[in-house]
Amino acid sequence: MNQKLGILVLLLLALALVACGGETASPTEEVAPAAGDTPAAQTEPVEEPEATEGEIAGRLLIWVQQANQDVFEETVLDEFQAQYPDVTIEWVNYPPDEVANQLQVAIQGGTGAPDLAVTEHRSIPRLVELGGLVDLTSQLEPYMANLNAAALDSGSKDGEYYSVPWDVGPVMTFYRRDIFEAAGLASAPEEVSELIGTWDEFLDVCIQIKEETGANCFALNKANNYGDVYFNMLWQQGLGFVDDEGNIAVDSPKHVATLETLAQFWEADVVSDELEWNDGWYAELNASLDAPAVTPVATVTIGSWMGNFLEDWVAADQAGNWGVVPMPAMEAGGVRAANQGGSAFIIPEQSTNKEAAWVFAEFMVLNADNHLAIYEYSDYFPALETVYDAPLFSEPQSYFGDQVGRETVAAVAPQVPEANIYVAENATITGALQTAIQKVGTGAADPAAALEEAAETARLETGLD
Amino acid sequence: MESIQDHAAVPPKPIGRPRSRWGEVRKSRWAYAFISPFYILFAIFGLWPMAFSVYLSLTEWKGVGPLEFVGFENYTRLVRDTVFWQSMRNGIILFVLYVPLMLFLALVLAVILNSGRVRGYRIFRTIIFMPFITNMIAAGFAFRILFTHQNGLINIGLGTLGLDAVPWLESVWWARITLSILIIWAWLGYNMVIMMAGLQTIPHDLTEAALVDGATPVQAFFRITIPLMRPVILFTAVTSTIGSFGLFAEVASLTEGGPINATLTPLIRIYNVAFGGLRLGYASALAYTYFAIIFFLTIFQVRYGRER
Repeated sequence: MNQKLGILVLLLLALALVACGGETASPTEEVAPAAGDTPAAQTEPVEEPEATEGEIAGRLLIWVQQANQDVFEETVLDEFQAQYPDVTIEWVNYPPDEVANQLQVAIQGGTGAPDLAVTEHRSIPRLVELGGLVDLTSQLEPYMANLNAAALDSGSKDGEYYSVPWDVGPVMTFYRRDIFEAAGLASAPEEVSELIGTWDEFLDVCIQIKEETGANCFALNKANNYGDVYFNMLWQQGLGFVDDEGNIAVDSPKHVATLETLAQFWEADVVSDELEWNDGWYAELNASLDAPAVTPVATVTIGSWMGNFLEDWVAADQAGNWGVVPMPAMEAGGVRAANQGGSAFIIPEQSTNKEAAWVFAEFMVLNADNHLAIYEYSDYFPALETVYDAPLFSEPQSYFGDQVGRETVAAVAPQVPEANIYVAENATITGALQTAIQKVGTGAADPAAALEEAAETARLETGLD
Repeated sequence: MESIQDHAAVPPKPIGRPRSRWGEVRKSRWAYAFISPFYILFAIFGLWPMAFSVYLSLTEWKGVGPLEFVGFENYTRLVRDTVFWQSMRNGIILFVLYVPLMLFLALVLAVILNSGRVRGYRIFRTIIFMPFITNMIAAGFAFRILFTHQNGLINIGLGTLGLDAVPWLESVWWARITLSILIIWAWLGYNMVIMMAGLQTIPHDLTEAALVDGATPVQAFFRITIPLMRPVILFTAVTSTIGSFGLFAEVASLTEGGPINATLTPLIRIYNVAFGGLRLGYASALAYTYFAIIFFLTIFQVRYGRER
């Protein structure tokens, strides 16, 4: 009797085990866009409407961050559905970095990837390296001339293209008109652009601002520096983390000279020690010149998407006081453009509906009208350069003191050079370089020694030469 | 299925002595069957990956594609890996910074709450234990805001007392201290509860007798309580040692390993190499080296703790 009971319990246990393990194969899985359930939905494409040859139909599973889903839904998604009524879209939301991380796991695991995903340019080379993305070269061919070259480059390997660029982050220098005026400097964009033509000239401007107003020039944290300003300075010179042969290049004389240029701002004591994306940083960007508690900063050199952030939430109090100009060049007449951020559509090899995935990406960001609608809503700067002809780009923006800011950014975007910064080893090398910059910032090493050590670490970690 | 039922119907035959080991297993087969789910799962998700990563540590692998056998190259490489050894050193430094202090505080609090002289000791016990069940990521970010250099609440408080602002997260040593504060805050309650459990096993009459004989409570604490608590203290010390090398969420949310890798722990390092750098072979070699070092440290600790 006892033994029979035992068998029964054992059977139940076994059943429970099978149920746990087999959850992913459950055919009753419904359209459930909860993060954890996606592999289930993925492996079992049930009740998919019959897709005949050439017809765009069926289920389309898309991984995006919530903000991007909102962008589509608030703009042209209805039109897409009207045009392709047989496509059933399912969304899965992840936090920004997680789309790429989850996708990496799905590719490594061989299962669980969506049909389409939107992620940052920065993380795409890593996925390309894993061999998990669909080669889109032939489909992209007709659009290539109109797409931002640097953005295309970030998603390419060996002449093949794996990403449909959506937005780019042309690096701009945002500056405070009121602080420049208080320092006795010109404040109109054309003049400021002239004034900070090179990083050396910018340093002089910074010194004058500090002396005349007490304001800091920009935020350049020492001990926890994320390295973004330095990376932007590398990018504008076309200097990469690796050279064209794929060897670690972070200790080249030019890299060292660039870090020395940046370090001058610490030595001159004209920068604040705030770290990006922290409350203190927001506060100094939003501070009045006569604020009692917080010392304001006069500039921030960062991807153009920052303009939207400043206006909407970071520095809403300073409406009308900000302006935007191209970043300083390394030397007179040098390139005043770099890229920071931006994102693209990618189609995993595991996608079960590659046709619909391509059509969706094409509809959203390769069609100038749709892309313009998306840009108007989101302010993600378009990688599709034909959008720049729209009247929107010649409208004055009151937040920027009626400057035609979009035009300025649009002039910079096509000039962004190709630089091997968004490479497969980006995360690892970024870490090594951050440590080097922190050492220089805190006085623990000089630029040459710090970068030599970073190169050593990067070689060891990446296995590159 | 049928055969099992057949067996079930017939009582097991008595087997002659000496009973074979297999016979013992057969006799207790139901017990084994019932505890088997854990072992089956452990074998799949614990043992197999552990064994596989031994092989992995001798290869180069991105997580997809073929494994490229490289022999001991990963191990010779890690000898030169200054960042990894820095992370091990950080583990030792963090251990020194927080483990002795935390265990001492845990023991003192446990003794006080266990003495029966504190009214409502359950409430205090709950309050002290509470941080342990708080989500570490949330706590880490809260600490980060509190300890911000400019306009952080802690520095504002110091300012009103006329003290200088402290670069809590901006200098190598202060960042380690701030991290230690977070760890003590989070783990004090857990260790205290274990200490309290240990104290329950010490008869009250021992301390009482000492007090009657004229010992001060402090003497009783150091001469009676601590020696008797040795096994419990050893347990908490060993787990805390392993913990200080294996810190992850605390570091990820508070310092991200900075400044200048000062708070980078081996576990974070291994994770970065594996998933940021796509070098699962090298990460496995790091993980096994890490395991070996912790293993010997623990053996040493247990040996040393038992003696005397």
